[in-house]
Amino acid sequence: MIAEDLPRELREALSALPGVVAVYPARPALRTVVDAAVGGVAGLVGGLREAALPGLGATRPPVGTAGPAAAAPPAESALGTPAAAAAVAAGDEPVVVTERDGRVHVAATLGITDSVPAAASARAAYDVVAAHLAAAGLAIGDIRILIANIDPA
Amino acid sequence: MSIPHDPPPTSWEPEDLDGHTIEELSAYLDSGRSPADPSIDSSPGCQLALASLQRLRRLAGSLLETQATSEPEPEESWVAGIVRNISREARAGRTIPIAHPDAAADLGITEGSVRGLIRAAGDTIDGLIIGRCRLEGDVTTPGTPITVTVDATVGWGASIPETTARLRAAIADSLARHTDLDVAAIDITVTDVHTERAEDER
Repeated sequence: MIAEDLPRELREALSALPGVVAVYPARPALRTVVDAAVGGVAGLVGGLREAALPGLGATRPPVGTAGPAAAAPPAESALGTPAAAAAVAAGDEPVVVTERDGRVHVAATLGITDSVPAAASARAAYDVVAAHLAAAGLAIGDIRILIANIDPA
Repeated sequence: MSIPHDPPPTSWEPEDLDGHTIEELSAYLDSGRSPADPSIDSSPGCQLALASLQRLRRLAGSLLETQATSEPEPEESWVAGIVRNISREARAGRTIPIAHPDAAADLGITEGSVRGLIRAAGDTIDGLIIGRCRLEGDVTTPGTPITVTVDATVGWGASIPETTARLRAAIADSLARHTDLDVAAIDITVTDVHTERAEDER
């Protein structure tokens, strides 16, 4: 089960990394959820419940209530179809956590300074997220880290 | 003075800057970023553009003043061209992968942030202003050789071969430090030479 505090915890862990100066909204991950939902509509993926995202026109459950798909009753999406993905999008938290097929998917977009190499920052960000998920006993699907801005030191 | 540039951007600009225009960002700088605008502050594209605009203002300010006093009809095209390039190049663009041994890792750096690195490398060279920079080649496939192309102007009296050599080294160092890109070449074209006002004239 994904804890409702997980996006915040991950954001704080990422913000604490050397050289990280910003955690931007990770919109590519939102797109992933949308794509998954569309896949569900098409019958490619089913039986999962949805924590609908703002702007999709569906009912959004309380933050953090999205649990493992198998453990929760299917919800009707705005399209009247069992939705395809579970997401924990806690308020304005920029780190996006989704759950599909029993695995957790995380996306974060970072701004860094050039005091630390960007590639090293991305790898360190992956490591800290992976360690956090492992400590929580969560199965990792994928962890997407995107460096979107590098400020001169 | 002129710098080749693309036609003025129209439809792409607000989208590329998360709904903002380069004029809005310039006004935001004028206001000292106050009151804070979260939609700008949380946009990496806007942050890249703001950083580039700040650099341009710092580097070009005295040049514009010089032109205003020494030339009857200051050309705005070269500055406008740079601003347009800043706006265009602030786009996230392609995602450049960063290698990691774990299959679950999907790591990358945006093309826009790499262009920002290249512009910042230009800041290390006195009197040099980067007008345009591009990454040519398939940056999305690791190991593919790519070519960096840069247009720049240099200060009057500076050795162009020495200046471009320094810029090439600065860009190479920065890209090697921050990315996994296989940079096969860095092509620099000096499109113009500008005059700088002497200290005793300021």
